Amino acid sequence: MSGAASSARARRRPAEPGALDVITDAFHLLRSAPLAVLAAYYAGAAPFVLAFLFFWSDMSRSAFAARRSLAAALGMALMFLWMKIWQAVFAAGLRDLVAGARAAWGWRRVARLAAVQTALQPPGMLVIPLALFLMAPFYAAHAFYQNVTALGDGSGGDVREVARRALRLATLWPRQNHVVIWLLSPWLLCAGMLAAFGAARLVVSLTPELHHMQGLLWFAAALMLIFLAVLPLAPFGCAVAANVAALLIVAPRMLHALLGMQTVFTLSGWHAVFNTTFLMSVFGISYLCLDPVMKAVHVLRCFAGEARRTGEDLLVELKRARRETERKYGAEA
Amino acid sequence: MKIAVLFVLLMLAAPLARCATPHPSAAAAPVPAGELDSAIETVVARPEFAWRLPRERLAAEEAAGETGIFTAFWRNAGDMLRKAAGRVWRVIRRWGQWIDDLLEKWDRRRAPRPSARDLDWQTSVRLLMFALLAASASVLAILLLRLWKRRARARAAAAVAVPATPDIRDDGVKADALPSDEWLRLAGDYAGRGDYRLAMRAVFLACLSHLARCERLTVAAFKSNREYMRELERRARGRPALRAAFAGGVSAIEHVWYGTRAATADDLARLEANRRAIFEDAPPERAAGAGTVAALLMVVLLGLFAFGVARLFTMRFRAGDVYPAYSSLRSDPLGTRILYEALSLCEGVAVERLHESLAARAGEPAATVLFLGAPSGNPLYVDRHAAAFAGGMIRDGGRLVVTFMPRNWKSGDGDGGGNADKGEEEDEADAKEPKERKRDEDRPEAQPVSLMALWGVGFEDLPADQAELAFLAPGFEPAGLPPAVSCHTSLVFTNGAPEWRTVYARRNRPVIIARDFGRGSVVLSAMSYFVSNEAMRRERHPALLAWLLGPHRRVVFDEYERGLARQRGVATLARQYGLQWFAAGLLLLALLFVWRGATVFVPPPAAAGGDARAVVAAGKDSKAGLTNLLRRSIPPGAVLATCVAEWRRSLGSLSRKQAGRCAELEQLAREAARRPPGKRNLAATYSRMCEIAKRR
Repeated sequence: MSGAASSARARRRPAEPGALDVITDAFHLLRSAPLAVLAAYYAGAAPFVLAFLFFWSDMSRSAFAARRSLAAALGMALMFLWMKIWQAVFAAGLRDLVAGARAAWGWRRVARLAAVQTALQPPGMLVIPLALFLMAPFYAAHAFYQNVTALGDGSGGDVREVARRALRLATLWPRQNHVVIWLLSPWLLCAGMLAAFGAARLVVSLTPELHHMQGLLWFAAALMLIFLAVLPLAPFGCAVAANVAALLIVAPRMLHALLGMQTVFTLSGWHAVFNTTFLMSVFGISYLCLDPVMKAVHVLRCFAGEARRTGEDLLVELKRARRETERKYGAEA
Repeated sequence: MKIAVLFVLLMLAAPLARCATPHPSAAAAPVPAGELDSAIETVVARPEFAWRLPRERLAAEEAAGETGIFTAFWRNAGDMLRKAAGRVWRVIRRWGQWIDDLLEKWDRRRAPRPSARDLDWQTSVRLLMFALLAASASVLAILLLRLWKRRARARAAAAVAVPATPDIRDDGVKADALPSDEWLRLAGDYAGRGDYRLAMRAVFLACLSHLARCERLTVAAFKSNREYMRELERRARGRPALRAAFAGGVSAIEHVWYGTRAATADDLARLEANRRAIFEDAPPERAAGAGTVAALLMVVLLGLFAFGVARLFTMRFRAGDVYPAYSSLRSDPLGTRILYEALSLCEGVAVERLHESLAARAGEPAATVLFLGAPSGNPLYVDRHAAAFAGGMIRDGGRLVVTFMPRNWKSGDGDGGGNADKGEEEDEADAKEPKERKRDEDRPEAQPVSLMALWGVGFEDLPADQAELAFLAPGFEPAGLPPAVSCHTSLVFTNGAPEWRTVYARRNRPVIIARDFGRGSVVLSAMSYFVSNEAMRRERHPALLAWLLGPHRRVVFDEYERGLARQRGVATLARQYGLQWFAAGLLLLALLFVWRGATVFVPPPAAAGGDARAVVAAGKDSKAGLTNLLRRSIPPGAVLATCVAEWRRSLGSLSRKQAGRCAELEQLAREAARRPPGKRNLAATYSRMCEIAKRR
């Protein structure tokens, strides 16, 4: 009886779109997006990532970290808002592509966008790591803040309205959301990389014999450890990070080999790789590669999720059909 | 052998000592301790040597009452502004200095210039890099300028290209060989002639070409129609109408093209309906949305980001903790860079780092060679020849200073104190591979000899407390040495031969010993802490350091044996063999190739009438363009005469035989031109002319 009931419920439940499908659509959306839309993303994210790397390096090593931490933290907060505002602009550009209509930009819309992002995004820096640590609500917390980026473009609704819509869509299609996070989330990549680095330090401190390992052996062992820790957590992110790391390692050596330029990378060998600055740089650049796809996925998810109630997808199809009809009959006339 | 270091070091010390003419900076006067102290004080004040230690000062400041988050914020903001202003002023001053230098160099040009050999390789590489950057910037600027100028007339200019018609009957013809408009024009031609089969194929190829342009699919010779359908399913998931239209088109063309069904006008009409659906669903305007400004912005952003990352690594590695402990490149507490920098500030002291083999340094003046942070407890193995050679070398006047890595505080455990837990290594002899030992046993002269054993010095661990001191040995002559020095190691020397004088001892066991060899000397120290950057701030002993350096004013910090070796790359070799201009030439060719690909040399027509949506022919190279131009520009009757004229021009001055051939060819060309157009038979005449031209 219960089996029949559950199968009946399953029949009633609408089919959940596949994660790979939405990721494929996201890639195509990014490919077909004008360069200006991508430029909007990197105008916000690239300065933030760079500032974060400087902040990390300065705060973790500088003797004057305590003296300038306040001003630096304030600067980082402003950079974070700067990034979130531009990400919302980027998401708005993608949404315009999906909806086939271009919403006009004005000062009022920009102000509303800035207000929404400023009000809703900052707690995410605390909530998302906490949720990742607790595991269970991570997918919803992650999706909520991505949805705020996708929906809070200032085109409609105040802060409360955007938060309500984002929260409603955050729990939409959880299986798809989990797979998307597993494949694309920079947070899991970050967690995996930190875990691998921490594990490497722990293993080395527990086994003094490892001090005698040679550079290449070290590298191979560390690589294996990183792959073991990161690969199951973020397979696609791991591939991206491996490419970025290879670029950072190989490029100075190529410069040395081809142009004779001696840099600290070529002089210090593998020492230049095993430090947190290198690790964070790899993560930062990987984030810049992965996050646009994640944003595009959530733009599509939000569009499809809202369309279930508003029928916006049908309206878009109708609009397109009307346009085509007008074009066709207009041309014939 | 990992520590053949001593051999190398002694190779440095000895040849330098042999030199008959003294080096101006190698006068035998020790560095004054006071001067060294003030130099160290100056260097320590630099920001790169400010580690976490100044927190103590901050805490003191806060304790003095300057607490309060807002006070601190405003004070910091003021500091930041002041620093920013100072930085701007420094930049302005630097520019002024640069202009002054430039003017000075300009004046100096009249004086004899140094030869090219005087420029080191780094300078030339730098010059090359600047030249490359300048060339790249110029090319980029030119391309952008041309792009900007061409933007308004691009479409009109593109209409000039007349693509050659591919053979549509060929199964291997690619859809992107022509733009969709051209395929449709062909389809119209074939339909007008009643050849619906070819017309349908042209329409289908137009569809593929259009979809490829919209980036819905990628045209490839090996792909089947089914693969195109799969690709479209993937890339146009949200476009069911488009996929249905394409599937209909595939079905229609496959029946007609591969099947036995005869094509009719109705089939063509159905396919045309599908084609319209495809074109309407995926308008090309969407794909062509990239703006020049956005592209420029992206390039600038990426460039700035790459520059920022490079700057970050430079800043991060300036601390030098990527180098081995006690390296003179490290500015963190474990390094010895403060000593290096301070010595370079002392008047008349020449300091250098060794990043390469010293074999090429023979003939240089005597020097003090510092090998700081040698693997602890290492007996300094070298082969017998090297040992004999080394002894002779030091006797000629060189001074060798070896300080050993700190050992653990408690012998046997891994709990180090201070910087004692870094860099601990096993004995070199123990680490030797069995194969290497066997090989050495076969050659007695190559069997390793421990210099420590030869000199009658050994090691042992004497457990020590963290604050334990080593005391100046009673009766040691040089005055001014500190009475006590912090040890930070459990290592002590044993079995000292009577020639060795104990300088410092811990619990009556020597930790610093010295010995004269002829005119030279050797100093061995079981402690390394007192030369470290940390010690320069916490516990500085300038007198001890000055004594350590000895009488020489030339100090060499060995980095080569730590693995910090400068390796020669392809570029170094290329420069050695004078190939840099060849490489520059190749680069220039590459740039010209890019320029050729990016620039349209055919001038646009004066009036841009006609179809504004005409596009450049995709898949056509410049040769095809030239062929088309010739077809358009030279009337058929004048082709042969033009060929003869071009051939004659290519020969330059003519010999009598060639002049005769030329006259013969011109006669043939004239005869061909006089005939009516249908009876010219240009190909046969051309073949005959070729035979005449090749005749010997």
